[in-house]
Amino acid sequence: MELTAQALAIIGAALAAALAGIGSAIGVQMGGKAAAGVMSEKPELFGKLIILQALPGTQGMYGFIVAILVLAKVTAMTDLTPVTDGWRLFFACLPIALVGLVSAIFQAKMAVAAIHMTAKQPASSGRGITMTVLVETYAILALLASILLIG
Amino acid sequence: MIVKMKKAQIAVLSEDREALLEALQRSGVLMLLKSSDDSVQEDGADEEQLAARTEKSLRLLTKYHDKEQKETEADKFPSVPYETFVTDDPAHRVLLEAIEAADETIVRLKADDQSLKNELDMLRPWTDLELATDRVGKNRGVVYHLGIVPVAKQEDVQTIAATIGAALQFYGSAADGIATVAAVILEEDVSSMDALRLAGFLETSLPPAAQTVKETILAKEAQLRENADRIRAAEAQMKDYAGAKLSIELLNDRAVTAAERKKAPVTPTASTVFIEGWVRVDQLDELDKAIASATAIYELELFDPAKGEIPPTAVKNNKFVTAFETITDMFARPSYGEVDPNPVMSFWYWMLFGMMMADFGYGVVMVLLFAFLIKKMHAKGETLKLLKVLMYSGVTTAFWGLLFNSYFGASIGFMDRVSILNPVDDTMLLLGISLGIGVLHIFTGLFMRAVNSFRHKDYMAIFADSFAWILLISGLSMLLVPSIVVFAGGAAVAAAGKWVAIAGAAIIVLFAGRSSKNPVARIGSGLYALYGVTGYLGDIMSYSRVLALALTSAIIGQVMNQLAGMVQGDAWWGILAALPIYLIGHIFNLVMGLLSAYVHTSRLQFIEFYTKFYEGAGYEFRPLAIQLKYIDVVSDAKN
Repeated sequence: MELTAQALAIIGAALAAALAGIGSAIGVQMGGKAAAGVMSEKPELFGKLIILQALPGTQGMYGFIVAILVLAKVTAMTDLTPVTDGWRLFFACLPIALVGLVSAIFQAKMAVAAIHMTAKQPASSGRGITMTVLVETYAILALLASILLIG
Repeated sequence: MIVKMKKAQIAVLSEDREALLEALQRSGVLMLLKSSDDSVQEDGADEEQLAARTEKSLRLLTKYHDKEQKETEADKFPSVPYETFVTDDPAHRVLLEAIEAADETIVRLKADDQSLKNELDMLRPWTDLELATDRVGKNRGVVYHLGIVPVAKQEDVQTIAATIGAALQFYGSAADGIATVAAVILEEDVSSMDALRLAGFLETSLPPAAQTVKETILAKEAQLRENADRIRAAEAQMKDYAGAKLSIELLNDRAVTAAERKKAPVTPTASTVFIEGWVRVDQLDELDKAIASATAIYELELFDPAKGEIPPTAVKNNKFVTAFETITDMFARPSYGEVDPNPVMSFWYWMLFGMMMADFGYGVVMVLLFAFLIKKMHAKGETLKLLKVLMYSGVTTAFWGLLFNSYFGASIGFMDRVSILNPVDDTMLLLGISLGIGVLHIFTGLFMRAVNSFRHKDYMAIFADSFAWILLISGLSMLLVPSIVVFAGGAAVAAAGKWVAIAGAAIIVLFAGRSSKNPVARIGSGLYALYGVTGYLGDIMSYSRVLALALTSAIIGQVMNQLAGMVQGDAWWGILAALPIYLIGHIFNLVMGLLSAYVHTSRLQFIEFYTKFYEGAGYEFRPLAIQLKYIDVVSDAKN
């Protein structure tokens, strides 16, 4: 049954990296499209817009970290791996996998709104960044949940 | 700290108005107010239009600027004496007009070239046509038709021509077929042409001319060559002008400055003008000097801000704190009456930023990189402040890197002595430290609230709105921590914590609703205020992001080292192959880490810290000043 436990953990790790990565890819793309539209008129805003575009990119990194932590755990636990360990690691990956996927996309929607706000009022880009970062709180909580569950 | 303001009222004779405004603008210490309904502002449209024209010309000139003549630092912001800056030199406007004329010539000739090229494309297939184009048509019982025959249909057309007795002559090939002349007998013109068209002959025409096509082409080519010469001449001229671009830059900055001055609100009376504005108390001497330099006859009166008047906010801090003002200003400018949050905030921002990055190597790179950028970019204003924030934060990044034993993602064995933990292994410990630092940060916010209450002489608020919360949160922490971490005397701490928390909660319930007279309503709103404890717990949990980001930075750094390590192997040359991976990997991690630390540290200040005390309803102190975009003005010795 050793293989099963390992396989379960690795499926979880793969899901964490893949789903959160997909969310971030979609999110960064959404932000990029909006920023490119604004920059066709105001190229000088590049510095402010690139930050807003990059914000939904962090979820992918969180998923990646959880995947790395799970893999480290799996290699460390070759000797005794009851099936329960496999399931535990699998479920530990789910918070960042699911919340990463969804929150990156919703954060991107917020980022697009903030990009449009910055286009009209470049001075308020800091507030736009702050409002966009609020969405990320839940991705961070999910990351912490995953890390604590991996143990 | 926030600088005190005084309101200045200045009256001078009408004829001294320009001199006064110029002197005020040069000193840059007075923020003019639109004081009464009688005050007049000119619109400065002429100057703004001139500024727009100079901007456009400067953009044009950058294209022609000699690439080989590298711009030195001095060229970028040339220094100009004040006298030169304010003196209008007609030669500058002549140059501007010359640039605009040369540009217009280039644009017109290029458009002309394009239409010439289009015509040539159309004519080229007919180069060998012997007829002058105005003689195509009926000719001694024969009609000549010009047309294009697609290559695929050439044989069909030839066959039909043979059967109906028409003569075909093929010329050069055009884009959509072969240029062809068909000669048909006058009487059979209509029917023959119908047959030919059916076979694929597409009739066209050429612009009628008294010369052969060859002659026309030669003439147009000559025209093209002449245009090219003229364009080259105009571009050479532009290159010369680009060498004198300082004149245009001067003109631009002068025009913008003049527009600013024209828009200044001034109240005229019969023989005097009256100006009102805000001045910082530490710049009163400069104001006096500026006015005296413009005229000997003036009246200057200074007032404290009246009740209900809100002066603009100017902050003055030491070099370190000044840089962090950009973070606060991004959120909201401090109100005039409140305590400046920047000195306290800057310390916390500095520490939290370093904790999130936490790598000795990255810290050193940050200090060097941003110091270099500050020197290289000639940064001014907010950009300069932000670069400085990042440079200073490099120091704390290196400091926390020492504590976490992290050097470009790797740990060094013998440096264990100075390190306190490893984020990857001691996750729970770091979580505890993060939340603990969060509690301290929030206590600082509550302390700032107390300071503000003290300034408003609301001593009850210090006790009920700041001290009580500190009691409650301390008590809850004392209650909670021993149940997670076991240590000697933990039980006693927890028991004491219970009473501390109860004391805090009691004060909140009894005094938070002190504004209402009705005792029931008072307790009710006290209980509701106590419910705010959930908000505080949420705020404290929010500091777990410090752990998350420190962990992210550490793990990605380690992964990059692993990847590079796989390539490196054991061979001595492995390091060469691995070097690009080390480099790209750590640059990526550094950039992403900077972005995350910047936004999340800001967030902790804005949402968790500033909500405790900060009002932030101020507006910027923006004095009438010289507007410089391209040049530096050096004042001459006298002032």
